[in-house]
Amino acid sequence: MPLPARRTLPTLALALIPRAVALNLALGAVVGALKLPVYLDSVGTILVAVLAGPWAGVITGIVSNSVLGLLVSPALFAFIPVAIVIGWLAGIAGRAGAFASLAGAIAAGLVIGVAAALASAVIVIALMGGLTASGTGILTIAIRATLGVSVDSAAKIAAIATDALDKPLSCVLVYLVLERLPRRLSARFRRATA
Amino acid sequence: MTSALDRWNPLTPLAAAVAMVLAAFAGPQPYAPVLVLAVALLVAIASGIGFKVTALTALVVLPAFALLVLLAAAFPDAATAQRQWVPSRAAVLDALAVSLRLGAAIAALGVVVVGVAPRRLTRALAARGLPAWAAYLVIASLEAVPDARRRADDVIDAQRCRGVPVGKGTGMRGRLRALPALAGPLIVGLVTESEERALALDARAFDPRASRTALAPIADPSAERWARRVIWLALAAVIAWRLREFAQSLTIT
Amino acid sequence: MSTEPLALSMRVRTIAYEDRIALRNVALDIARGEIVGVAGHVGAGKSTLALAAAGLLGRSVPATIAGAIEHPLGGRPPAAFVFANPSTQLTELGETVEEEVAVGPENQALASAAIRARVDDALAQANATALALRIPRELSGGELQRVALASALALEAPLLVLDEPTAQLDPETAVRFAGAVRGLRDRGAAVLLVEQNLELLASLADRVILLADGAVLATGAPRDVLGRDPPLDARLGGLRTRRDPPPASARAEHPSLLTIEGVSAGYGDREVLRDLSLTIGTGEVVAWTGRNGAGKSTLARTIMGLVEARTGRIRLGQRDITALPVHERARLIGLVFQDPRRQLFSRTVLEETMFGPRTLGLSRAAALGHAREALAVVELHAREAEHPGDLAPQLQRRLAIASALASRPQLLMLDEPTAGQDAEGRWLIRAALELQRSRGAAAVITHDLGFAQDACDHNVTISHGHVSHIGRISLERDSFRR
Repeated sequence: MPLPARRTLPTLALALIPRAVALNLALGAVVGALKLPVYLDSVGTILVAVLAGPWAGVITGIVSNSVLGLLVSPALFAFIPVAIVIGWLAGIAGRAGAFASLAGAIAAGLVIGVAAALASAVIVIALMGGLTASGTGILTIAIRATLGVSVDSAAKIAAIATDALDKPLSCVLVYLVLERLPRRLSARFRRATA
Repeated sequence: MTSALDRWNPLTPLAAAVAMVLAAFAGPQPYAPVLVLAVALLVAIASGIGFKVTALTALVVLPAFALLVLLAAAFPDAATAQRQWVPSRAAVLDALAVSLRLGAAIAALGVVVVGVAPRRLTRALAARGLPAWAAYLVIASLEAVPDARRRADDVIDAQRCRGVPVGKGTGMRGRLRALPALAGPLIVGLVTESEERALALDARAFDPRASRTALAPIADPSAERWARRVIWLALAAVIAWRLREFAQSLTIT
Repeated sequence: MSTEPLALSMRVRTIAYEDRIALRNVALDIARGEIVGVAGHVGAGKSTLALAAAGLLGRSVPATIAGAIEHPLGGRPPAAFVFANPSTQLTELGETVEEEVAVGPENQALASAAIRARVDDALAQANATALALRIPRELSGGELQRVALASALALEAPLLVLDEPTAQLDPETAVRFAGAVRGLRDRGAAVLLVEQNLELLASLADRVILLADGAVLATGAPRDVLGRDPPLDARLGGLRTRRDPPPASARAEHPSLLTIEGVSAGYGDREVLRDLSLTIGTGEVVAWTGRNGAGKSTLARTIMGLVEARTGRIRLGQRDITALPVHERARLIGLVFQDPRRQLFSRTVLEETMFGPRTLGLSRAAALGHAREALAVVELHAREAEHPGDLAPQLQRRLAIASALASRPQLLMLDEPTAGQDAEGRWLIRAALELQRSRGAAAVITHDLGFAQDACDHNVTISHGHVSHIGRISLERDSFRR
């Protein structure tokens, strides 16, 4: 079958993305039932990225945060770049075969977690005056923000621990699910988006 | 959910909100953010969504202000290098200015997010060239969220019936172990379902790249189209003025 | 044979998926004003035939087709499709029913006035006009299926393909759906109807194709194909269905196993069960019937502990379980929900069946023994190494029942177990209930009075949250004839 001149998402990936977005929001119910100190709000994004590639992951991240922005608060629009980073990195990790093993999935989760934390820090700083500050200014505020937050507030330490646990755990879940998808289906995704 | 804003083509409030956000950041400080915030809240109140928009705004402004004041107090100017637990007046004013800008942006966008049905907004964007696949992603996602929440509840129930313990009395390790049993069927189920959904789209002659028509197109009166042009022109003027000022400040230093 | 123009002309040598040939040597023409029925067991190739006839195979679902599938009347798309699952065939693009029905014509880029005309017409033909402004998510399965039919009709495609459209509907709703399909034929539609319910198929179809193992076994007038001796089920199922049905229990005395006294329960402010009392005896299999919303499912959920009993007591044997947490009750009671896909997560059918016993703390060897026995009862033992997701929906439901059996509960409750099952599936579910009878007791929530009469000792009618009638099942056979 010849490839279309302009690459677009096949219907299968297209139909998966809304469910992945909904998953990002619905896993909260599971986390709540188990009272686990994590969010698991990017599992859908990571899953699509691994199944259908970085591009699909990026789109899922954008749609997911846009929907959150529409449903919860427009402040979340500002964090669309974080979701993009997560989707893109997960797609790259998937292409590199990181999700073929548990250790690889955990490693991917750590990298994604660090990158996501950095991306959100940059956004927070930019919104809180970094736009007008000079380059070194941004840096000092960044250091202040991380140090100040983690040293001064026990609650924030818990939040940072949560962040560190969240993405690796999300990636482990994705790994477990990929292992358990009907082979027929995962093959279809690979073929459709190769 | 309908509000007074639904009388407009959704693109008009959207254009106004985007312009107001940019104006709050680019306009003269601190007047521009204050003005934008005031206008946004007034529009919200007039449209019957005052409470929600105010709450959204407060939820961002208050923590941001508190955090900035706290940071300023904990880490005073590098010049003095002396930790003094009372923030300076300048630092408080600075924190207020930043929080106000954020608040103005949230309030302006909040009016659109709360006051305009997201589906209507997406359809209006689709009518102006947003590709069919992008519109599908947003609309179907909004639709899929309540479905997935209900499915999550069903999965939790089904697995509890098979002996998976949840809630109190189970240690952290037990709860972590229960996670795959609860999240797994939810995720696998949703991925599997996408195959059926894709088939349904194909069966309905959906083409992600083709343009679609609408059963009830959203009206876009020429007055509103002109209003949007005026908004964009005004915004361009503010930005141009601001850029000129910025260029002048560069030549002085 | 009709002299009307053909909407489908199909001459197919083979249709193959990645790993296997699903259908071979099918020649099929459908003319306007004609309903062609397709019958056969699970896995016979019915859905493959339906997807191929609609032109979806090879395009949406990867498959290799050797042969020709033509739609002489053209059309964009050439065929409209109604799937078995009421909820997943919506595009989600419509907020209301009429918007969902409009999605097809919108994709065809019609003008607004034309779309409006199509939508109104399609809703009327599908008996769904009253639903126009409802929210799809809030509709029942039967209502959704009429919306799906309307959505398909709105495409005005020359051919209409229905793939087990009544599989998940209760018998009464299925009859009404059949009425709508008959009306379409009378107005000149060409219809391909895959249907599990042979009585319904015989009443609707002008011609019938009988499939078995991917090939055409017989084709002709319904009474010739479906009515000949030996009975169809015997021909399709071989010896299996000719075995004697499981013996119904004739014991008169049933020491009580489950005792419910004055239970009230509900969700939030809404009280669903009101001061309900009920007993189930050891060795009994009972049916719980009643209208949608009468409280049958809530009763099962309350017994299981998913819904809290606000008043009253629940006892199992001598033990008061009113306050026992759900995961503890799971050792004593099993509950199988309507949608088996809410719980499937394992790599193989066997592992899935072992999940319950393992979670309850049984050793691997013991769980394996229980699982194999349960799979044998519903005749899935030969497929224990397959992926649960690759099973047909009917088999997934049998797998869910086996999973519950494997935990060896004293009381087993099944919610609408026979929906979508063919004669063989119903027989196997009966066999599962008979095994359960020997271990304790079972309750079946069902709209399927025929099954209740065959499989259950007596019937408990629930209405408005309490027991309104207990007695033998009196069955007025639903008639599919006009």
